[in-house]
Formats: sequence, C-alpha cells, structure tokens
Amino acid sequence: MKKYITLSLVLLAINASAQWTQEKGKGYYKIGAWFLEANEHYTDTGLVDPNITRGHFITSFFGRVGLTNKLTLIGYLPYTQVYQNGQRFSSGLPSLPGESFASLGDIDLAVEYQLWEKKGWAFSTSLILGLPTGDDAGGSDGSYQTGDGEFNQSLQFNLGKSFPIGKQNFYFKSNISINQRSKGYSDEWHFGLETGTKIAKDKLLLLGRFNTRQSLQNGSLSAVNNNGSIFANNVEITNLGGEIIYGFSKVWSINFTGSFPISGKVIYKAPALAVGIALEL
Amino acid sequence: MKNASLIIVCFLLLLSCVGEDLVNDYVDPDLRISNAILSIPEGVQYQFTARFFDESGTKVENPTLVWLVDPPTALSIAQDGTIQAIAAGEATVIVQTTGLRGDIIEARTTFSVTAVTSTDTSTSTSETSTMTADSETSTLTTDTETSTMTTETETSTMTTDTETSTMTTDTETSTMTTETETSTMTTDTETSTMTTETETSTTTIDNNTGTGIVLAPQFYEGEIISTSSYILEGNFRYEHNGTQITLSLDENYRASTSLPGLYLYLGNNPNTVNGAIEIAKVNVFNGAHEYILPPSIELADYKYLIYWCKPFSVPVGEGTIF
Repeated sequence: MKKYITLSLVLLAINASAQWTQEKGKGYYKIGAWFLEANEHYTDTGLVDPNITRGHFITSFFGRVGLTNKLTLIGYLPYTQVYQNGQRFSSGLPSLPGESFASLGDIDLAVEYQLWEKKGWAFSTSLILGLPTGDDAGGSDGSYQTGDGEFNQSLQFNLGKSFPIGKQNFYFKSNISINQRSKGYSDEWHFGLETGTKIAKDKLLLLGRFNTRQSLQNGSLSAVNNNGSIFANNVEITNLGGEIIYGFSKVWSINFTGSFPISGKVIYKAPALAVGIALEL
Repeated sequence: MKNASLIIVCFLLLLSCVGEDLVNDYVDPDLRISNAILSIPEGVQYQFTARFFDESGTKVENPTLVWLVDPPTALSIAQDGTIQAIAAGEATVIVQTTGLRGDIIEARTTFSVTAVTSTDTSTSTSETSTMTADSETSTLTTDTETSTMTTETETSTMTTDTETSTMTTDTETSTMTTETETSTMTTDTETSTMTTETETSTTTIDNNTGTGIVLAPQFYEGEIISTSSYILEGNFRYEHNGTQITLSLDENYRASTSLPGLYLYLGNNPNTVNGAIEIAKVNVFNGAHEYILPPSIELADYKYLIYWCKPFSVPVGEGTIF
C-alpha cells in the first residue's frame, strides 16, 4: 500500500508534465508534502471495513531534467512517515499509545522519451524504475512499511493533445502502463486521463484527473507465504482528482492536489491531499 | 514564495500529528460459574466457583458474590459457593453480583440431585448388567474394602448415607470402595438395569474427589463467523483434556489469504485485544488444524476466539466459546 502511495505520487507528478518532454537543459523541481489519513479501507472483496486510523505523510523531492529535447530524466525521492493513532476505550480500559515510523521511502527513477509530436499532439514513452530503498518491515509489528521491498519496472505510454474551445486553450493527456513487480507481487496495469486549462491570465492552472490501477492477480504472494506484510499486493484503486497550480512568478509555482477514491481493493479509503512548491528553470 | 513556504509548513504541522481514536469496546458484564456439574448425589458437598468480567471484559478479582439455591429444599448453600445436596430432584444454583451501573448480574446452573441405587456386589463384563437388591432398603456390610459394580455414567443413581463412601469409575467397569465397613445403600426399585455408555459419554466422573459428582462437559463447540468483509468461517471445538485445552478447527474452516497480519487471540471482549491473550499468528487459511493452548488456560477463562488484523488493528472474525 505504501508502495502504491509512493508510486501513485510519482506517476501523478510524472503525468502532470508528461507527453511534452522537458527542453534540453531545462528542469522542473518540486518539494512536496503528501498526506493520507484513513479510518476505513477497501477489503479484498472491494467492500469497505473500518480500521484504527492510520496515516501516511510523505515529504518528497521531485525533479525532471531535459537531457535532450526528446529525452527527460525524472527522479522522485520520498521521506515517508507512517503512523497509527492511539486508542482510547469507552469501557475504561487503559489507553493504547499510537505509533509512528519514518524512513526513506522507495525511490523512483524514470526516463521519458518523446516518440512523436505534431499539430498539438504529443506521444511519448516512459520507463519507471521503483527502487526498494524503503523499509518493508518498519514499526513494532512490521506493518509500518515505507516501501515494499521489491524492485519494479513500469513501462508507460503517454498521449497528449492541446486544443482550443472558443478562446480558451485546453489540453488532454492519457497514459497507460504495465508495472512489472518482483518478489511474488502481482503485476499491474495503470490507466490515467487528465485535462486542464489556464485561467487568470495564465497564472492559474486547473486540471482534473482520472486514474485507475488494477492487479493482474498473477503474483504468488499471499498471507499464506508472507509474514503478514502484504499490503502492497493485489492492490487496486480507482480515483478522481484535481489540482490547482498557481504561478506566483515566472519560475515559482505552488500546487494543491486532491485525489478521491471511488473503488478499490486492499487499500485505504480516504482522500489523499498534497501541496508542493515548484521551481521551473 | 515566502507565503507559500509558510503555508506548506503550516500544512505539515497540521497534518503530521498522531491522534487518538475512541474505540467503543463495551461488552455486557459477564458472571460465569466456572465449574458446573450435571449431577450430585444426595448428601455430598461441592463448592462452586464463579468469575466476573466487567464491561470491558476484564476479570474482576474477588468480586462480592451472593449465592442462592432453588428450591431451597434441594440444597443448602454457603456464601463461599459450597452446596450440600439434600433431596433428589432438579436444583438450580444462582450467583449474583452488582455491576458498575448498579444492576444485578447473575448466573445460573441447573443440575440433578440424585438418589443412590446400588447393590451389595454386582460384577459385569457386558455393557448391560442387572443389579438386584433384596429389599428397597438394605444394609450392606462389606468384608472387603473394595467391591465391583457397573455404573451408567450419565445417570448414576447410587446414593449413600455415609459421607465417607467413595466411588470411582474407570470405564465400563467401576470399582466402589467404602472407607467405612458399613454403609447403607438404597434402591428405588428392587431391580434396576444399569447400562454402560462409555462410547458416547460426554460427562466425566469427578475422580479427584470421588464423590460421584458428574461434572459438566469439558468442551465447547462453536462457529467462527466473520465480523468484517473478509472471508472467515468454520466450526471449532474447544476441549480440555484434563491437562490443557486443544482448540480444533474443522475441515470447513477457511479464511481469506488477503487478510494482512491475521492473529488469533482468546479474550473476553471481542472488540479489542487489549487484555486478550495472543495464541498465534494465523498460518493456516483452509482446512482442519489445531492449537494446543498453554496449561495455565482454564476452560472458563475466555469467552471468545478473536481473529485480529494487526496492521489495521481491527477484529475480522470471532467465535463465541460459550
């Protein structure tokens, strides 16, 4: 689950600037904070069950640099905190304290290559590598994971189009990817849509997103052969979201992101919120 | 830039705190008689014990108990739970205490006070034997300290006027030993038939005291049910073998393999494992298997099997033992 969170975040960030690759020598850098707190989760049947409140808080650095006009290098470096609330009992039993665990999360590295761009259309592909730099057994019971301990590779294709509606310019993006996972985890496919437009003299970018992640159910990992830490296997999620990016100077911008789940399996059911400040040079 | 940074810092401070959840874990207080019996011969004494668990499922040490009997003609009872069987028939022992809210909480157990049916000597090697008494009331004088008789274990009807006579039962053939040379034994009918049913017996003779008291069954059977959206089901048997308890899950047991960090606990509050005892991490998700519990656990100590998901800190299933 933590891996999902990490990966989703980087994909979200990558998608936000995908298709139109970075110009050679130019870069986009962002420091962000991502937050999710949930007291219910989707079970393996897709139904919703309650749980003691758990939270994930990720502070991260994201950067993309144009190596050439067609090739962009992307990196995502998270520092992840996982916590669980304490428990106070109505019966008068002594309270149980909460717990928190933090460490470096799973780092993602990616390259994006522009395959084609013409008449407002752009088509590119990305290779994303998920490095197992996080802790897959953190906390007192090993469930405070900041990574899933597996190396994964995701191949993604991105298609984008800019177009006007009246005097207003819009863009549309889509992406589809296959994420190959190791250590018995099921592979996954991802699909995303995004559209947006600038307003307020192009200082404010409003965009909406749809993302889904589905398991291929081909992994061997389960509670039978795993030591209980199986959050990240067979995770499925579909969510809707949006982002507001305000450019308060020519190079600086601040963004607010929200993502809201509409279905899922073996994952928390709660909105994820993010804020970041970005520099584009 | 400065304002934006300030906003981010405020955002971090606001959201990264570990809070506290309120868990509604109230359960009805439970007073339970921990050593119920099925029958006791007239004239014999037996001490009941009771355990009280409060609204959190926590055992209350040395609770104030009031012991009652119904009907009073069948038994006498002391306030330490000791009864004296007086007259044959059905009898009920009631124990009461007061809950935190001032309400009366009680537990009951009903059993038989039995009359004696026996003969001077009867030895049988078959499952059915006939015992004959010369008269309805006979005085038996035993030259030896041991005589042999056959006893129907579920409905033993031997009574004795002497408190010192003892009866021990092995299986089909039992041995009666009198510590006094003379005892009076009464039969309701001149001829009675006694049948040994050892194969299907679900009761045990109190061999420790040898008083002819038939203890209640030393096992419980129940069903595990899911209290979540995860699959968790199956039947179980919770049995004390005289030394320790074995929890046996039936062939029809199955649990979702997607359950993360599933553990089995024994507790008196199915809403929390606070105060419960952890038995094991669940490694079997389908089919029959068993857990051997520590000898320190007694049959009446815990009321629930609790299947608990540690990472989510939630119960996902339970089985009510009694």
